Amino acid sequence: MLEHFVENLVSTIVAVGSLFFPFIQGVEPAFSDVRIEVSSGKMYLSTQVIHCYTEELDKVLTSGQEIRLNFRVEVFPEKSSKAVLRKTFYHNVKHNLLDTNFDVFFSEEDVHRQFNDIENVHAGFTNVNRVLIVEADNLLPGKRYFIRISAELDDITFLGTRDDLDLMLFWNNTEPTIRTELFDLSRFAY
Amino acid sequence: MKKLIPSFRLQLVLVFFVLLLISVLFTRSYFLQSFRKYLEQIRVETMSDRLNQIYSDYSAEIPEEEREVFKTDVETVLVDLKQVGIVTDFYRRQIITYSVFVFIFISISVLIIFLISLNLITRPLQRLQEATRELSRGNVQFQVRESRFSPINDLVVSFNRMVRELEQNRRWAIETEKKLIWREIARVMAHEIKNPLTPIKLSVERLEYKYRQNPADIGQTLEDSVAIVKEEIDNLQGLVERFRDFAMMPEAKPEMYRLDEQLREIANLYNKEYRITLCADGELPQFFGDKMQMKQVFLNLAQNAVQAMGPDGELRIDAAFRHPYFEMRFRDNGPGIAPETREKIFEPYFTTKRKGTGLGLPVVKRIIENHGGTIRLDSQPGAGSAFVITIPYANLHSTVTEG
Repeated sequence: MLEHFVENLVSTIVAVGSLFFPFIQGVEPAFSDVRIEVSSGKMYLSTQVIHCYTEELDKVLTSGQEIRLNFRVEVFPEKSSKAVLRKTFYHNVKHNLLDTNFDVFFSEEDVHRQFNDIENVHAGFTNVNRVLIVEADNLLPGKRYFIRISAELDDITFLGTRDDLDLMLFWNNTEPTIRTELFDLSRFAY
Repeated sequence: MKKLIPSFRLQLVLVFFVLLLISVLFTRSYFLQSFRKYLEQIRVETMSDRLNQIYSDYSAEIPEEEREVFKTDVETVLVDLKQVGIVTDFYRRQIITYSVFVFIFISISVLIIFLISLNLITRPLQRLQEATRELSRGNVQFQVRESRFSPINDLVVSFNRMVRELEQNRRWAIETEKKLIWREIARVMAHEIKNPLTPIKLSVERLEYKYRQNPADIGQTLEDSVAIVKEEIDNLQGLVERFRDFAMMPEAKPEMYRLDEQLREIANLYNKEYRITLCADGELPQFFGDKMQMKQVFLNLAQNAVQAMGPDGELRIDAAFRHPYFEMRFRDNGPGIAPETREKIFEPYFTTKRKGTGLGLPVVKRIIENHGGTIRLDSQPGAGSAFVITIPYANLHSTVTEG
């Protein structure tokens, strides 16, 4: 009875405490090198999440557990918070412990790519390469728009643990987000 | 033995640290238990053994179609083992981080509970202590603030009820005493008036008798009778004047003056014939009262003391300021006063002296009460007597000017 009470009490305190004192030293990830290309009336986006790896996150990446990174791309009209277009995709990484390579799945392209070492995974896993964002037909003439991109790691469950491990702790619970400059249909003329 | 028992505050501090220790132990126990449960579930040794077994059993000969299954199995176990390392590391980090946090959290909680308990218990106790002091000074209207959250509120409520009942009883006792006193005054007055009336009546009857017997020879008798009647009328007049003095206290004329200087003057009056020690606090505030009336009080008390103690006795006069009260004490080493006498000593016309009027101490009491204070007698037969006067500093101005 007392043990149960103490367990509940301490777990509550720990839950509250984790909001203020995370036990994982996280980093502040960000998007960099955002490139927008227009081709045949279509807009493609390329970017990369940087400052997003830590020693602890690498241990998780090399644990053999499948890790998912979700991307969300939204198109907003100028001065509006309501997206007119939303696109989501994800990257999965899994370390093959016997083959000692990494398998990364890119959902936007629906392809698997193999990486031999963790440095290459660092570069590839968080890289977004020429993702189709919007076509000219979807936009109104005379209106200006901007794109917002954000990324988030999924929780994982480890063997024998009661709760999921929130991988966003490695990112200080901060979703990297970036907003592009305003553009209109004239951009598609190139 | 008494010193071995820690004070209440010390006990609370001890309770605080015990609770702190318990909380730390609970926290430690919680994390260790979680860790133990986890280790029980993962069974590291079992997994390692299983992996080795798989390798030894199937590494040499493995059919082509089962190779993928084999690979998956081994990989699964390897993943498990990897995860053990990671989760163990996470638990270790959590223990380090949250032990400190839980320790701080529970410490603060215990500290808050401690402070609240301290406030709810010690404050009412302090107020009760203050109330008992006020009560001993004669302030029977003092009430302790009640707080329904305090665990000792029942005690406070009982105390307040007791004080209220005490005040009611005191008033009733005063009223009863007043009636008794006035009855006694009437009795004494009747007796005192009757005494001179008898010789007056006898003189008049003698004069009447002489006149009827021999009117020519009435001269000497008339002279004697008139002298007796005049004397007895003077006695009656003196009696009436003393009574008037007692009944009608002159109007107070308060002023600021130094009480210690006044007491020194009183002491000097008797110093030549008696041993008198004056211990006046050098930092006494200025006293505000009727200087003449207070002098009458001090003279009366000093006179009573020296009469009681005789030429070989010693009178000690103490004067101090114990915020917010002036306290004056006249202590002699005379024979002391018997309990039955003590009870009546402030009653008018009560005296143990052969030539006393019985109005000295009642007048003293009235003056002190007019100054908003109290006077009491501490005495035991054979152990001397002490008259203790207490006058509140704050009430002096209002009481004396109104009085």
